[in-house]
Amino acid sequence: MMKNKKIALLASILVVTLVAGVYAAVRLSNILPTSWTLRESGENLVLYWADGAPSGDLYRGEWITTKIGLRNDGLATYTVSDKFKIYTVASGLPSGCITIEYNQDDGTGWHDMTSVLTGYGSNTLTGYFGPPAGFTVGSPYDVQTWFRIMFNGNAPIDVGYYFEAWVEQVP
Amino acid sequence: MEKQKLAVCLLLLSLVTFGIFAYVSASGSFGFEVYETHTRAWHIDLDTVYVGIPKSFNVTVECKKEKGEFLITYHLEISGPESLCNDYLRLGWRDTDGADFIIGKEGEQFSGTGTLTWNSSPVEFKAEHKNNITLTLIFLTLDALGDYNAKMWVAFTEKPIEAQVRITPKILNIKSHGRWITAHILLPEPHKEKNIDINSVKLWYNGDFVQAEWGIATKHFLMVKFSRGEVIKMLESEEGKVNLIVTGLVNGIEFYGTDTITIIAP
Repeated sequence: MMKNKKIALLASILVVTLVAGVYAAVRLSNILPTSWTLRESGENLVLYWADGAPSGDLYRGEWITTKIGLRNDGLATYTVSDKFKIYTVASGLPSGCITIEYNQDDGTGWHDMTSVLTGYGSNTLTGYFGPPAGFTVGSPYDVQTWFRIMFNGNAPIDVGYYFEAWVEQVP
Repeated sequence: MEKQKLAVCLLLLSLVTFGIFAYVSASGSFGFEVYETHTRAWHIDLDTVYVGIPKSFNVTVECKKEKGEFLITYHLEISGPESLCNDYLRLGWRDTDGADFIIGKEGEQFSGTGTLTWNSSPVEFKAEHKNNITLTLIFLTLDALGDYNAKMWVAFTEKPIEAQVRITPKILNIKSHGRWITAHILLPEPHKEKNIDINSVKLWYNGDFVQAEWGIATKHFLMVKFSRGEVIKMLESEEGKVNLIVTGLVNGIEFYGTDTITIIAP
């Protein structure tokens, strides 16, 4: 009988200790779960004509000068390559029919970039601007660059020419 | 027969205890609640978040307790693509308690890869108080694209009670052969010294502690005794003034108090 009382006392102490221990421990609130899917909007990087889009009649042997800007409207950082194409309805664009240069207003003048053009013989020439491995567009970013283009003596005439530029993410 | 009765009683007691905790958990009677501020929902679906574009949402942390003061830590966990790391994002935190900071790139650090975790330092929080938090999420790289799950919660304890503590002897000769070091503990109202769990009382120095061996509550204070030998062992190599801390639990709430004694080794 005495032994049972001792066991009961011990058990009571254990339970009280357990309850007091739990009570004194760190307690938690509910857990608030949140979910989402992260996507690229495709609207953060903006290429724009900074000095008006060239249009109208163009002539062989004359420079056509324009200014293009690249702006990051978002807060992410991208590694990108500026791509462009010049195309026409003519049957083919012969090698050397176009000269293209850029000027970054850094005092170093105009730099030839004609060598980036590919696709001679077809009606579409493609090229890129900047390092082949791409360059970093952080945030904020808004950089404008002068470009000039000249149609040489072998460029087809009396046809329409079109220009498109875009930005691609470099993996 | 007696043993069987005892076993049944213990089983019933265990069931009741478990039942109380199960009820508290299952019924949603949390001491603190975390919910979407406007809808009070316990789930937030942000749908689509775009890289580089800030996405804000509001969370309220509310103390449901009617009295008391608490120490809480905020916890965040974000799971995403395997490569997810601290530099992929910036999480702005602005709340009505005056906090305004960034977690992630250029701010406080998330830990981990794939699953990021962060927890705050303890902050004080009063009963029935609400803190409205605006969280603004910005992902900074296309490498972060993917599906995400996040969790937010708070962990809390009762704010420790500051007690008055007097430790004797005030000058401790480490070569003396006394038996006890004594601490007199006085708690602020409305706490009662008689409710102190003597087994929880400890004497601390530099991260080491000695547990109280016994104690007696009087009308005005609790006197607890620590083994002099153990205390001297804890303080060995010390000489001069040392600051000792006494901690313990009263009705499950932690209390603490400090006192300075002088160690001499003639």
